[in-house]
Amino acid sequence: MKKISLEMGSGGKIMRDFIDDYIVKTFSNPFLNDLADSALLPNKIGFTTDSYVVDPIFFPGGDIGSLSVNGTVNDLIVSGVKPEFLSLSLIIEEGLELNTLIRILKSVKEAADKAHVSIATGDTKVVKQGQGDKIFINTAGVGSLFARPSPKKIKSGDTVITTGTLGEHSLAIMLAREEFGIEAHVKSDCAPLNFLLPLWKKGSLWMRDITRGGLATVLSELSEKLPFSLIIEEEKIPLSHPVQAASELLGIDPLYLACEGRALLIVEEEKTESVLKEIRKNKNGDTAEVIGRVDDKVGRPGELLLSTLSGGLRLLEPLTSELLPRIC
Amino acid sequence: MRELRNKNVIRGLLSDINERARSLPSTLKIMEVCGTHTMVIHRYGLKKMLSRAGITMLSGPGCPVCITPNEIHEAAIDLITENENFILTTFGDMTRVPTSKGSIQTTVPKKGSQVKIVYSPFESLSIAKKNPKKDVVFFGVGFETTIPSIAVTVKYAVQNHLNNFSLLSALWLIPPPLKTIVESKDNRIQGFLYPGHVSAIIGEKPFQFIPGQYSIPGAITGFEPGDILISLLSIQDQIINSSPIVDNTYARAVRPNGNPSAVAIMEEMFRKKESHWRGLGPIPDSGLKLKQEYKDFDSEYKYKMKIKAHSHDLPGCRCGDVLQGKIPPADCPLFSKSCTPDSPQGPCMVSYEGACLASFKYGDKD
Amino acid sequence: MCLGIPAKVISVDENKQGKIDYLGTRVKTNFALLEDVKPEDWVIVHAGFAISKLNEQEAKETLELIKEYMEFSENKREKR
Repeated sequence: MKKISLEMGSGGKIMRDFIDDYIVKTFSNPFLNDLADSALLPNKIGFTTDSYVVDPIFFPGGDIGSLSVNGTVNDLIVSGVKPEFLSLSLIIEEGLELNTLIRILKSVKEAADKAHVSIATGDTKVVKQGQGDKIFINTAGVGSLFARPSPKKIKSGDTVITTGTLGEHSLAIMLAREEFGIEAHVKSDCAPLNFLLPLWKKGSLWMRDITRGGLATVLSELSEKLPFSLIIEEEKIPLSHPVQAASELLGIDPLYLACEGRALLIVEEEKTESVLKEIRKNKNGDTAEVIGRVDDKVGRPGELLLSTLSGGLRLLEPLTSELLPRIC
Repeated sequence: MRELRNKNVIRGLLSDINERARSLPSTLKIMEVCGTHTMVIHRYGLKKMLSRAGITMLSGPGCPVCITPNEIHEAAIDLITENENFILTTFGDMTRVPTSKGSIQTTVPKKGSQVKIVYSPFESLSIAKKNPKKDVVFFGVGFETTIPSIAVTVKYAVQNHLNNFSLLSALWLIPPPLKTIVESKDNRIQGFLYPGHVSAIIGEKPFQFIPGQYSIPGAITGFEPGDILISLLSIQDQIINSSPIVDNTYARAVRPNGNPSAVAIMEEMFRKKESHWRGLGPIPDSGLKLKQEYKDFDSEYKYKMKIKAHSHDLPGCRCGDVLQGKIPPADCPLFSKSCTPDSPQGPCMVSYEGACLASFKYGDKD
Repeated sequence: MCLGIPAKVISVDENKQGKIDYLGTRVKTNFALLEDVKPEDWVIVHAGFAISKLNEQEAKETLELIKEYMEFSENKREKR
C-alpha cells in the first residue's frame, strides 16, 4: 500500500492494522499501547483526543461543534475519568461564513456546559480555499480518574447493557447528506454520557461508547480479550422504527451503525437491575436495555455470538471498514 | 410479514421439517440459488438448525459479486485511477472485492474523480445531472431482479440526452447456469430454492424445465426465514409424493407470468450474449449487453475498454466448484488457511452472500 | 443482491416516480416497472424501484398459515 486510502481512517480493522503497524510501532509506550479510549497517565490523570471531520457540519440533532465536545468527553467517561477540561483546535477553510463559525462555537459552548467541562486552551488556523473542507476540529480532553475500569473482574453471568437505541447518528448523517432518497424523523443521538460516571462504583466493570463500527465491532474487540463468550439477544436490541426501516431498505446491519451518545456496559450480574434503573432515569438513557450476557457454556472463549430473532446462533464479526465515510 | 421471523413459527416449521425428514433419505442436498437466500440463512442462524434436520444447504451461482470476473472490477478501478473527473457510481457490496489492483473501496482516485455508493441505479442520473462536466459511470451488476431497473435508468438517460452518463455492465441471467448444473453428470442437487425476486420479474415458466425434464423438485422462495422453511417443506412433500414441480410459495409477490413490463424493457434495451461464469465456464445467452443503438451509453464502447471476459482464479481457489454446490467451502484447500475474510483468495470469501464467508463467519472453521 | 421489501405506496407522479412508506420512513421510489400503481397499494421495492405489486389475498393466506404455526408451537408447549 503506497498511498493513504480513505479506508485507513474508517475505524474498522484496516484502520486498526494501520495503527498497529505504524503508530504503535513508532511510539510504543505503556500509556499508548493499550489503545484504550483514553490514556491513563501518572497522578490519576486521564487524557484523550479526537478529530472531527464530519460531513455535513450541521445535521439533525447536532453539528460538528457539539460532536467535538461529546465525542471526547465520552471517551473519558467510558475510561472511568471525570472530564474536566478540553482543548479546542479549529482548522478553518478560507471563505467560511462568519455566522457559521459563530453558530458552531455557540454549539461547542452549550455542549461543554451540559458536559460540565471548560475549554481551557486551543488554537485557530485558517487554510486557503480548497485546502480544507469548511472546518475541521480537534479536541483533547483531560480529567481525573474517578474509578478504574475492571474488565478482569468480568465473570460468567454478568450482563451487557446498551444505554439506548442504535444507529440514529448514522441515519441522521445519511438524511443530512440527502442520500438514498430517504425521509425520516430522526435526530442524531449525539449527547454527553456524564450520567454513566457514578455507575463505575455501582456495578459497571467495563464501558465503551458505540462509535464507528457499531455494537458488533465494539463488543468483538472486548470479547477477543475475554476467557468467555459474549451472547447478545437480537430481539432485545432496541432500534427505533426509522433505523429499522432504513437498515432493511438499504441492506445495512444496524449492529454496525455508529452512534455518538450511546454506550455499552458490562455490569455485575447482581447489580444489573439497579444500574439499568439508574441509566433510564436520564433522558439520554431512557431506551436502555439489557441485551446480552457473558457466558461460559455456549460458544468458545473470545467469541461474540448473536442469538437471532429466529432462535439460531451466529458469530458477529467486527467491521472491516466503515460503511459511511466522514461520519464523525 | 414479520411473523415469518418469529421464533415460535420457525420452531413449528422446523419441527414439521424434522418430521418429514424421517420418511426421506438421511441427507438432502438443496441448493439455494440466490445469494440473498444464502445471506438470510446465515443471518438467522438457520444452517445448523437445518443440518440437524438432515438438510444440507448449498449456495448456488446467484451471487453477483461472486460470479463477476475480477477483470471488470479492475477495469472500473482503472477508469477512476487513470482519468480525472470521473464519478464511478456503484452498489456498496461491489466495492469490497479484492483484485490485483486492490478493491474499489481502497482505490485512490485521480484528481477530481471519486466513487459514490448508490442505493438505486436512478441516483446515478441525478449525479450525472448535477455534474455535467464529469463522466458518470454506473457499475451495474445484477440479475433479473435488478436488470429492469438498470434498463429504465439507461432508457431515461438516452431519452434525456444525459451524454455524460454510461453503464459499465455485468448482467447475468439465472436460468442458464441452472441448466448447466442440472445437466452436469455429477449433479447431486436434490431440490432448488428459486430466487423469489428474480421470479417476480420472469415468472415461473423459466424454471419449469427443471422438474419437467430432470424431475428435480423446487420452490420459488421469499426472503424471510419462514419463507425458506415453507419452501423446504414443499420440496420435502414433492419428494415424498414423487411430484416435482415449481411450487410458488412466494405467491404474495410472484405472479405465474412475472412482470411482463419489466421483461419488456429488459428486451428493449439489452441483447443476450455469451458470458463466462466462474467455475461453470462460458454459457451461451447467459448475459446481457446494451443493444448497438445504445452503444454511446455503454462504458465499454465509450471509453474503448478492453475487458477480457475470463476470470482467472488464484491457484488452488475452488470458488467455481463451491458456486455449483459441488463442494462445501470447507473442502476447498485454501478455506480458512490462506483464504480468510481478511485475506480472501476468491470472491466467495468476500461477498457477504458468498458461501465461504457465510461458512467462515458462522463458525464452520474446522 | 435481491433484497426487496414490502412497502406501501404514498405517492406516484406522472413520471412514475414517487415515494413509499416502510415503518414510517419514506423513500424515493421509481414505479416505471409497474403498469398501474396508486397510493395505498403495497409493492416490493428493490434498489429504489417497485418491481412487483403485493397480492393481498396471497399475503393473507400466508399469514393464516403462519398463525397456525404460532398456535401450534404454543399448543405443544401447553401439552408438556
